[in-house]
Amino acid sequence: MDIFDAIVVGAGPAGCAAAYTMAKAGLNVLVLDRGQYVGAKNMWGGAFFGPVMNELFPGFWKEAPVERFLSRHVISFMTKEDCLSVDFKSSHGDFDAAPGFIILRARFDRWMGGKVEEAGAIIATGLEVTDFIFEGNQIKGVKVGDEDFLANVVVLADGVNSLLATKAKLRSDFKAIDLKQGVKEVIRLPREVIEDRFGVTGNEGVVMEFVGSCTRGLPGGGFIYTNKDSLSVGVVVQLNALLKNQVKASDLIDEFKEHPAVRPLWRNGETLEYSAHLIPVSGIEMMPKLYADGIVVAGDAAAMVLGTGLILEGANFAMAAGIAAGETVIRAKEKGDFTSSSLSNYEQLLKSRFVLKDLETFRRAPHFLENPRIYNAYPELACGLMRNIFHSDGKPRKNTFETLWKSMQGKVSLWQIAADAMKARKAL
Amino acid sequence: MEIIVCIKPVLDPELPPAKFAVDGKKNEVIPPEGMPFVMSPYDALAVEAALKIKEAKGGKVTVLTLGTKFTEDVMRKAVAMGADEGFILNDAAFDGSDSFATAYILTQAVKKIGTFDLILCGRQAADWDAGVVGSAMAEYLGVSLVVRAKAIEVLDGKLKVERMMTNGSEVLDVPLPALVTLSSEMGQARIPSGRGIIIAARKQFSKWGAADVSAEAAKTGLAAARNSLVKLFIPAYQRTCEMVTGKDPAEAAALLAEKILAIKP
Amino acid sequence: MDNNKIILVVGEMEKGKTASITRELLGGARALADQTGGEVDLVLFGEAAASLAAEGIALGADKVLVASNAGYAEFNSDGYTAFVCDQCTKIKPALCLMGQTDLGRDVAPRVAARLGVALAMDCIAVDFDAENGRFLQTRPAFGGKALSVMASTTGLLQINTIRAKSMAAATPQDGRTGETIALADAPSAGAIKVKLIEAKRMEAEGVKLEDAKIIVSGGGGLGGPDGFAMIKELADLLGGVVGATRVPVDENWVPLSMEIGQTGKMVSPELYIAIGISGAAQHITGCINSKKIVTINRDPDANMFKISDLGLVADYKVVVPVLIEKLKAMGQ
Ligand SMILES: Cc1cc2nc3c(=O)[nH]c(=O)nc-3n(C[C@H](O)[C@H](O)[C@H](O)COP(=O)(O)OP(=O)(O)OC[C@H]3O[C@@H](n4cnc5c(N)ncnc54)[C@H](O)[C@@H]3O)c2cc1C
Ligand SMILES: Cc1cc2nc3c(=O)[nH]c(=O)nc-3n(C[C@H](O)[C@H](O)[C@H](O)COP(=O)(O)OP(=O)(O)OC[C@H]3O[C@@H](n4cnc5c(N)ncnc54)[C@H](O)[C@@H]3O)c2cc1C
Ligand SMILES: Nc1ncnc2c1ncn2[C@@H]1O[C@H](COP(=O)(O)O)[C@@H](O)[C@H]1O
Repeated sequence: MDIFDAIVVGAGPAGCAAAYTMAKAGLNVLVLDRGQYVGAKNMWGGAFFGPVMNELFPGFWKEAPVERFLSRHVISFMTKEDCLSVDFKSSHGDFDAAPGFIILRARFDRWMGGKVEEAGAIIATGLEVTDFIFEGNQIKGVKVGDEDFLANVVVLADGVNSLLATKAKLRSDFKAIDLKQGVKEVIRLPREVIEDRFGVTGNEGVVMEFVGSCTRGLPGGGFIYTNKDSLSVGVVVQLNALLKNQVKASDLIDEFKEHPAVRPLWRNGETLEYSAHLIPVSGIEMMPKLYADGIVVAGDAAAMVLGTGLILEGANFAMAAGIAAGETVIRAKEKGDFTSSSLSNYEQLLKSRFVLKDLETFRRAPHFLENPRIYNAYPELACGLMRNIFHSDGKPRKNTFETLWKSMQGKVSLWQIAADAMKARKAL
Repeated sequence: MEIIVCIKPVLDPELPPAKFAVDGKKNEVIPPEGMPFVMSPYDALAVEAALKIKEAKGGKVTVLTLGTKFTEDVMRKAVAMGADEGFILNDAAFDGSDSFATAYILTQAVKKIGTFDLILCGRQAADWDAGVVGSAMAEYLGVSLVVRAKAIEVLDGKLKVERMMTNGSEVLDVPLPALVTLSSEMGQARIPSGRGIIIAARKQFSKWGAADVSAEAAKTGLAAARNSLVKLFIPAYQRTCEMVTGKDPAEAAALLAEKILAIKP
Repeated sequence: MDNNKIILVVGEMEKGKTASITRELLGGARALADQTGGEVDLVLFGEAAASLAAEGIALGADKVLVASNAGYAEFNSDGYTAFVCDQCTKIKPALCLMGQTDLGRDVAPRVAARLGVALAMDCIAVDFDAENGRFLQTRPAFGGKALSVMASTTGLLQINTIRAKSMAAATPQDGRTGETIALADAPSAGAIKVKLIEAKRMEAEGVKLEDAKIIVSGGGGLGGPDGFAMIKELADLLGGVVGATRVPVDENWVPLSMEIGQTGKMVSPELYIAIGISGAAQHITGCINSKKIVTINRDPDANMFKISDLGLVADYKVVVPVLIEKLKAMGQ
């Protein structure tokens, strides 16, 4: 059995980007994924930003199964009854000018997998990598059950639950405090209905994010993305908070769907699939060692996710890291040196790309986002004020503001708001 | 033994009903996004049966598929399991072929391959559930036929085949060449090894069109279909389920007992 | 239809009697013939069958063709196929009905291929479309997830195999007259390639699932043979029979003869109790014709509930014993 230049574990964005980069450079690459087919179990909200993808596959949207492009972005604060939204719509041309894209992983990953195979890499699905083959400290390949596969370098892109990263002694298991739990439903709706309800036409798409009661005030939020003829509806919640408060994410998504402001959006739609997945959100602070003798790690497996706002930016980072990993291996091959010293180049490449820079810049964001006030006090305050402006109940307004303030007593104070605003400026 | 196995890519038959959709205007199924078709499970059993015979008696296993979507995937699956080579039948002229046209085209391909002792098919393709193509091929080739087999044994130039019957089974004496269709009772198909999958990934399959297998246009495609599809739809079950509840399972069960007695004939 | 209006029914025997499927085919054929103004011919195999000819006529046949030669006593695909082909070429029927049985599954596709005529397998309905002068064939597809309606485009003979219990069985009418023709020729030796070495019959003891009024069915959720012992007790109390899905059969908890569904038996009892069954299409297709369906499943979203009249979300291990006690108490 031949020795591959590289074995990539995981055919997600990170793994595909790495494999594609290496295969294009003529390396002999094997990609192993445990899913029955590429993209089988993969899920995400569905919005991602184009540049890296475009660097990898120029003009990808022309052939890739992209659902819609981002033309409208809505951020909403919700309490049990109310919902206050900031709605941004920009009517720039079409895909080519789009800042971001909405996709469904199953289709998109499959397309990327096709590209990777065209480039000459072998993708073998239905194979779960269970361990590494060590020669001293040098990783020489991987084990799938009792089968061995040899390679000069292993690119580890097996996602957030990476058991292998720990086996390679790159990190210990992620802690609940550093993870968010995402649950999502895909709900089928006719194209026309989507366009009516969300005020879009053609390929325009909407990303909606919700903060507040949708997570029962726990750190996280709800989201809705418009696909071609379905919606992605879900919630993302701090895992630790879920465990501490014994809340089930599946219950939260049901509540979220039933919220008076949300229900009308998916009404009469038929749920096609339900999925749950973890997200590493503590950024640079939870990032493991990125390389060792004969191995580099990329994507969620290395916690390369940016969770500044509610939008989760993982795919970009995963792909950028994948490219960097690929380039690292290509150079290592030129040098014929696959030890950690040669692979250390990976970290430089990541720095020169935005990946580590951004994650460094937003180092504080995760902590800021743990602030409970964002998820209960502020939505209540905001909605309270609006309710107040709209409902005239005869009383002079001033008093009602006061009562509102009283109602907020103990939840938030003026100086806290000021302080949070400062923090926000620093963190974001 | 020269064995030819006919395999068909189908929408995963284990797909939950909730994900199954039909386009009422086009009268066709809408497959879920991104989900590739799988080898029809009975066909996987046919491949398994072929490999078992090859392991016992030596020989060669060739797989054939006719279609447009995911044919490479099922070919690779078969090779990963251990099949030696495969041919894909693909031509615009084949589109819309019914069971008999399909059987005709596959028969032409078999003739092009030339020598064979045994052809294996599934008892039915797990999409339209017809169970016709194998039998029709046997008729066109004029070879012996056994349908719904659970076990095949090669004994001095003949086959000993056990086939399923509603109330048991029959053991049959079958002269070669023969066509046998496999039923689920035959057991489980093997899961490909990693090595197998990698060998399969590198495999190239030659594609044959109508001309390559000298298939007459009049006998293939929609025009040759003996039935026209008037309507395809998802049956609506007019039932509303009354959920029995109680303060605890025991109480609910007691309630259910009463309700069952009420409707019991 | 430029050929004549005969509907040919291929009959079967069951323990020396006219098979229930044949009664159903005669019922359906007669109804259609009365619309097309055609005649119903019945084919029967083996000398023994001759004794059923009269009943065949009482059940609606106008002509009974008996393949009386000893060579037809036992089912043989090659021989039966040749015989049916001969009859079809001779009498040129417009429609030929067989059961979706061992015989029909085997012979129908071969006859259609040999004669180059239209075929639809496993139909649950055949209707006469008077204005277009054609028969519409309805059959499940995709494991029962969908129904398809098809029409022959050939204008020639159309062959359909019919799923058990989908046509109303004919009731015998004494006084009906008809003609019986014995065809004594032996099957031509050359025609027969495949020969029977041994028949392994495993008759399900007691009431057959197909005829049961009450069925208590268990699935993968029962977790093992013990679970089936439990629901057997329930079935006995109710005077019912135990059925199963594919999973317990594959796991060898129960014999194959208990499997209900696409690759198993088609049942239509008055009462069908599904315990630990998810409700996959291939199972539902086999029990959907039950009058009342009751489901016990611990998963509230189990598809089985969607086709049920009564449902209980619970662990069967907890509720079935109570159910049994209650029924005992209520004097069952
Ligand atoms: C609810 C939710 C919403 C999100 N929304 C967005 C969004 O809108 N935008 C965005 O950019 N990002 C989003 N993300 C984050 C994004 O999905 C991830 O950051 C990204 O998928 C990471 O890619 P990856 O290749 O590192 O890992 P993955 O995409 O998880 O891929 C890992 C692959 O490895 C395979 N694998 C795992 N273990 C093994 C093994 N032992 N052997 C073989 N194969 C294995 C898996 O099958 C999988 O295919 C979201 C995530 C969630 C959960
Ligand atoms: C071509 C083809 C043909 C097939 N033909 C048939 C056929 O003829 N007949 C057939 O039945 N299947 C057939 N199948 C298989 C079918 O697709 C399903 O796999 C099968 O019916 C599932 O059986 P099940 O629901 O019993 O098991 P599962 O799918 O495992 O479901 C078990 C159910 O039990 C519930 N459960 C578990 N534990 C408990 C508990 N303690 N208490 C209560 N409930 C519990 C679970 O919630 C679940 O809903 C066929 C499949 C294919 C591909
Ligand atoms: N398009 C096809 N390509 C290859 N084999 C086929 C095809 N269609 C049917 N078959 C074979 O014929 C069997 C019965 O198919 P069907 O008659 O369509 O139910 C299948 O199990 C396959 O073995």
